[in-house]
Amino acid sequence: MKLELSRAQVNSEWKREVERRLGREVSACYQCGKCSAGCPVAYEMFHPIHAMMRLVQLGRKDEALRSRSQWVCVGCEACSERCPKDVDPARLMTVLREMAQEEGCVNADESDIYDFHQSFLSSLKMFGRVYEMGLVSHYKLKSPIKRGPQDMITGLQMMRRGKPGFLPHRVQNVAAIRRIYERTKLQKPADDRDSD
Amino acid sequence: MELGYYPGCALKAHATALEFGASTEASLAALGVELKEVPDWNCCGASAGHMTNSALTRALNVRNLALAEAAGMAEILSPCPLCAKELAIANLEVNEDPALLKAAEDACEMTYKGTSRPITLIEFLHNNRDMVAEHIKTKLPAIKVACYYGCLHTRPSLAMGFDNTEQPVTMDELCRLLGLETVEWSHKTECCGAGFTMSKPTVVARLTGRILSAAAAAGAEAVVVSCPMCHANLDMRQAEAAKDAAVDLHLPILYLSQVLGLALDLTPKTLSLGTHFVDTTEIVARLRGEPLPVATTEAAGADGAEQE
Repeated sequence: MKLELSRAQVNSEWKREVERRLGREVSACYQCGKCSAGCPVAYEMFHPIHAMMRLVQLGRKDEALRSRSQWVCVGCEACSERCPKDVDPARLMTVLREMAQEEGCVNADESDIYDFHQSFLSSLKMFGRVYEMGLVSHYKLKSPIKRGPQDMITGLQMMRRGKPGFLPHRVQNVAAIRRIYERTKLQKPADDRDSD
Repeated sequence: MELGYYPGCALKAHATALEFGASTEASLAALGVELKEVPDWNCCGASAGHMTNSALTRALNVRNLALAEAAGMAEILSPCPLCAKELAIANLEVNEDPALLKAAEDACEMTYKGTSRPITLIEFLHNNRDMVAEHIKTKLPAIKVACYYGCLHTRPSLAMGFDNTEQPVTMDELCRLLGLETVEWSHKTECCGAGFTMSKPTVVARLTGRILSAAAAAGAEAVVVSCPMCHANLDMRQAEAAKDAAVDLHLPILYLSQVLGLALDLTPKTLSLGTHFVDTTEIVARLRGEPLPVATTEAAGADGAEQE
């Protein structure tokens, strides 16, 4: 693949911000590929994890933030455990997920994954604990035609086994949980000096 | 013995892992351990929080840690390793970085000195294996099982600080202590797809297909787990896994707390052994040294003949 690079991009403010959040310098990565070799979902990724690290090294903000890879990452931490340079690629995925949301460029191809996370978190916000019936309904209703029929039989089989519980469990101090949400909202960067 | 207890949503609130909750509580009671629930605990955020907002996850977990600390709990049993990992990471981060501690404390309106620590069921039982050995009522028969740890019992090692990350042995040692035989196999810590069970089921089928085929190839007759996500994916999704891997699979997936409970002479009903997707009737009868139920004897015979 041919890439056009500019000095401004490679030395960009964005790359320094990634490094600040990662707590590591991405130039430490020497592209050995061990992270991708052991990644259980590398086969699903156009840019496997070492390639994501490379995109950041080269300051390719747009490609990195719009990638599917950080959403397909299942968070098993194998890459970070094995990285010989301790660059923490799993944490890089977390940083890219947060930045992609802040910049409004979450990859739409993986909306199932993203919506599920959002449904999970809204259930947590409402009750302080996860209410699976509510979570699944919330997730399905966001795209009822596609997701409605999924797992109908499994769902019935679960109910026959008393899973999941019918009623939500609630934290007594739900107000405290809602305030945690308010205070930890992701912020769009005020001063966006990068333009690709 | 008293022990702080953080059951987490899967064991308590939505009950998808009701087997894990019921069998953990019953087995520990039989060992003489009194579980004290963390007062008003909240969800750890699990993968959704970790996947989208680390500040939120950190604050949610600092709230739990601070509640446990205020209740005087130094160790908090967190049977679900997803919860244990989130609690452990929050602990590590706020103990290393005062700015992160301050932000999390402000968000959850609590103060935290850093004296609570999550502990998984495997770690707790392994630390107290002499006590477990003393309480065994009936040694289990030497049935071959594959101990599947999944990702998060040992990773990230900096936060979990327990066992070997690539080839853990503690659950194997516990199973052998109970009388079971454990197989050497390749996929002890490979990921099962965890939270993608609804949002990316094709990935879960692919990963669990590989794990279960490896366990079967190593000669395991059942898989022992200690994680609600591993259990859901290996048990509930086993049919999809078998299809994806193009193999025949019938591997009962048992929780460590369930096999422990059987060795403590607890009943299958107490241990919720009847709510699995993959039928456990035969393996439970064999583990208890009972004659095989008539209906499954024939099926077992047919299976056995096929394998030979």
